[in-house]
Amino acid sequence: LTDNDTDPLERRAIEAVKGGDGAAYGYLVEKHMRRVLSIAWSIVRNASDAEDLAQDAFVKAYQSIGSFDDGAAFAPWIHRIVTNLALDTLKKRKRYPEEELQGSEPAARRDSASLPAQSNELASRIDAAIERLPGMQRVVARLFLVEHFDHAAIAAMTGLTEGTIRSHLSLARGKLKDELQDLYGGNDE
Amino acid sequence: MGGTMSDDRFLDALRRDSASLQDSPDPHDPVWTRLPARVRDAIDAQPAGLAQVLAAWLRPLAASLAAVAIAATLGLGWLEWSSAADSGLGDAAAIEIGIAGDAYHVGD
Repeated sequence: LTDNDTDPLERRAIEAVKGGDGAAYGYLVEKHMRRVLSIAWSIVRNASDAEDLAQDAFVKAYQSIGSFDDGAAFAPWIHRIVTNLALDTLKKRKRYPEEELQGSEPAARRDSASLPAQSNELASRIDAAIERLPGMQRVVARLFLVEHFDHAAIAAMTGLTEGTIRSHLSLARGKLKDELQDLYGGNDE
Repeated sequence: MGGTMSDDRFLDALRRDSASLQDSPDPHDPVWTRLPARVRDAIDAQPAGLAQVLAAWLRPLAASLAAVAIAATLGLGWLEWSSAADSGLGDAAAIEIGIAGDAYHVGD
């Protein structure tokens, strides 16, 4: 299933939760928690904060499920909620101003030790380069490059227009290309 | 061709190589059991939303009202049938007998 598909079990779970059956919500949490946690971690770069945000996002979605459109996919909705919460967290940390992002160290990945050495080194270089991007460029780059969301999905999650997303991504691409020139600076053919 | 990698190709290659940066804890990581439990506890600890409260109250209320409506309908139907049957029997049973100029009524 892709993010935009709705499976019958999900639809039934949503109807059940709307009808007051809180236990049915477990299905939605189990189905979406991996992606929600990954989005949160991508933005706040801290495992503990990411877990708190994932919890908050699911609780907030549960409380607002009465306003959720029947037949709509749950994924885009919960992704938008967790993204907004994560961006709020960045603001609260006062890490949002672009200058404060310069020189910040990339957070250690939970499973970095399990990656093969070569891919770990490549991933670390990319990770560090993305982390040095300013503010929303970094967030958009992570959602596009790491989480593999398309422009429209990122626009929906962040509340920005697709044009703004493309602009952030274009600026990020230029900086990443400069920084990773030794890795990707080869011939086009 | 001696040019550098095009922007699109660069972005595609970077996207491919960045996929491994997704946060993907081991399937046996405690977070996968801890997170659903935390969500459940947080939901249980909070007062239910208005929609849930209404749904929880209205469902049994609606069921009770439906039962009362069915009982009332059946009861009224039975009463109507019963009174119709009684009046019909009364009409049938009322007999006027005339004897020597006097009228006698039976069954009134």
